[in-house]
Amino acid sequence: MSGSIVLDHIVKTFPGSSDPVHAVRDVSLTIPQGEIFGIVGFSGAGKSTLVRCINLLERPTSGHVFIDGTDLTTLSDRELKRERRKIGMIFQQFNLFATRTVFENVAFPLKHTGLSRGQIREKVTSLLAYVELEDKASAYPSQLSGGQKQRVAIARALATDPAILLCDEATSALDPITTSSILRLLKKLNHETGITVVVITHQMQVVKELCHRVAVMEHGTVVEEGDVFDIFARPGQAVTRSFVDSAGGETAESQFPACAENEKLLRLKFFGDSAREAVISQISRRFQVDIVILSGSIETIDGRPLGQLNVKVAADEKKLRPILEYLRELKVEAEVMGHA
Amino acid sequence: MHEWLNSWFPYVMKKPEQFLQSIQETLIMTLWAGSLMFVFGLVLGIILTITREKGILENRVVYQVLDKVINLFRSIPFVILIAVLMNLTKWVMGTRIGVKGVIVPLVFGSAPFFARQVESALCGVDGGLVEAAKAMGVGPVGIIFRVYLREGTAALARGTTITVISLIGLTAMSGYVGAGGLGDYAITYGYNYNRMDIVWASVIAIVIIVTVVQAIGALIARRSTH
Ligand SMILES: Nc1ncnc2c1ncn2[C@@H]1O[C@H](COP(=O)(O)OP(=O)(O)OP(=O)(O)O)[C@@H](O)[C@H]1O
Ligand SMILES: [Mg+2]
Repeated sequence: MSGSIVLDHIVKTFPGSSDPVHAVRDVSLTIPQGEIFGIVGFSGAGKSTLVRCINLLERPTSGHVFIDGTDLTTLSDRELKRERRKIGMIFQQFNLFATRTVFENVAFPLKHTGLSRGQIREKVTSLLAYVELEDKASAYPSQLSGGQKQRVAIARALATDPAILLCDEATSALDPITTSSILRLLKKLNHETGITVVVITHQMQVVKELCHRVAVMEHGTVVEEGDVFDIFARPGQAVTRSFVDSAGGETAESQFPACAENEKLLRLKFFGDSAREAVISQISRRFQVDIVILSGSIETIDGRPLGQLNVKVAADEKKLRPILEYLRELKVEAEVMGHA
Repeated sequence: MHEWLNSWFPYVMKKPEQFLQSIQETLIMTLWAGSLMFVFGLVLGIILTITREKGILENRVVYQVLDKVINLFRSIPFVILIAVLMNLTKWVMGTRIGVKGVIVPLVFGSAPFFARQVESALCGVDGGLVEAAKAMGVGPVGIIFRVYLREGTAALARGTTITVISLIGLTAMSGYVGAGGLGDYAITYGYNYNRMDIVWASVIAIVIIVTVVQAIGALIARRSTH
């Protein structure tokens, strides 16, 4: 199995109507084979453009794209066509052919691949079984739900046995439950076949449930990149932070209501197995302060637990300092969110 | 039945073969010019679609030239077009009169309009599908036939219907070059002699032809929509 991606100083500039649009500015990324790599960022950050550079749907203004060591930007049209069959792609709008049945959609990329009719039938049938849609083979896309459509799109993308699967907001048009089922399918696929998966999303749920590593894009550049757990635990950039916050489904304001003077709002983060409750009562006893727990959560990200507690501490600036120091000793990350 | 026709369409029934002949002429003109118009218009429409901005074979020069030429031909009134194309018609068909002599102007008069219909039908094909096909390693030829024409079939059928109906309208003017047809029949034998039954018979025949064309178009469009 192969499927490594190396993006080398990718720049993509569109000639805009007045000023040129710098969609991607000098992005270099290495995605090893078998990895599920997430790309997040706000609208217009350049995520789609960057991912479309991977299969050269968009030709970079400068820079190189290496797939398993082959520089796609130097290939002839014919070689590029063959190389693209190694890179499957799915989209937010599914992009199924409305005039073709589910079966014909999945068989679409198999034309002119040298497979016999019987082999195509066999292949399509097994792909449809894999995405659990055997019974829909002769249905038309208009007769399917969004989740089913995306499953067909996945089956179609897999028809040419690609080593890489690109997903541009593949779950953005789906409800949370359907999203989860698609994510499970992608995860299973990655686990069983070792396919490299690149997912663009602005749903942090997707990153959390699916990705190993993630890159955060802003204004055409990658501002932060790392293991998903680390990014969630210690977001370094403001954009990243806002995405991580959005994952909890709450804004900072709703988690931290206004409070009285001499009260401080803290966000505590526990990594691994630090004993949460014990820390609170210890501090309370040791420093003689009241601590109110406002909200809390434990999540498993990429297989590791990440706990978070939002608390209100009845302490002023002076009293707070030793508490923060003590927390640091306990390897609990504390962040002062503000006060009244 | 015969009596009824005799009382309502006395002059038509006097020389029914004249009426039937003009129907036949209209049909032959429509069929020939329509087939050629379909082929040329389709090719031109496809070229417009793929060479336009962001098309799969974007080419500014080709698009601009074709765009202007099509606009030029569309702006020339049909009767003038017959005159303009006189020599070309003679060269291609060997004559510039009769049904033969009117085919060339009919094609020039309708193909540019049809090219626009094709262009708009194919532009209606979701760009995402073209994108998806490209990502699957399908080349320009595959995209034209397997994506544009296939997914645009319903819209193409509607565009073809509209063009054929306007083509039938053009054939009514073919009397200028002695090609006959229902238009000529209605004017020469009906209008000029104030024989209204001939005019009405022509109208009825045209309406029936148009209705059939429309029904076929609608059927194809419906069959290719899922
Ligand atoms: N074909 C194009 N021509 C001109 N400008 C473009 C083109 N494609 C993208 N852009 C511009 O490039 C910038 C990045 O677009 P891109 O689609 O990559 O963003 P994105 O991060 O995918 O956003 P979204 O989350 O909305 O999908 C935007 O400013 C966009 O307007
Ligand atoms: Mg996008």
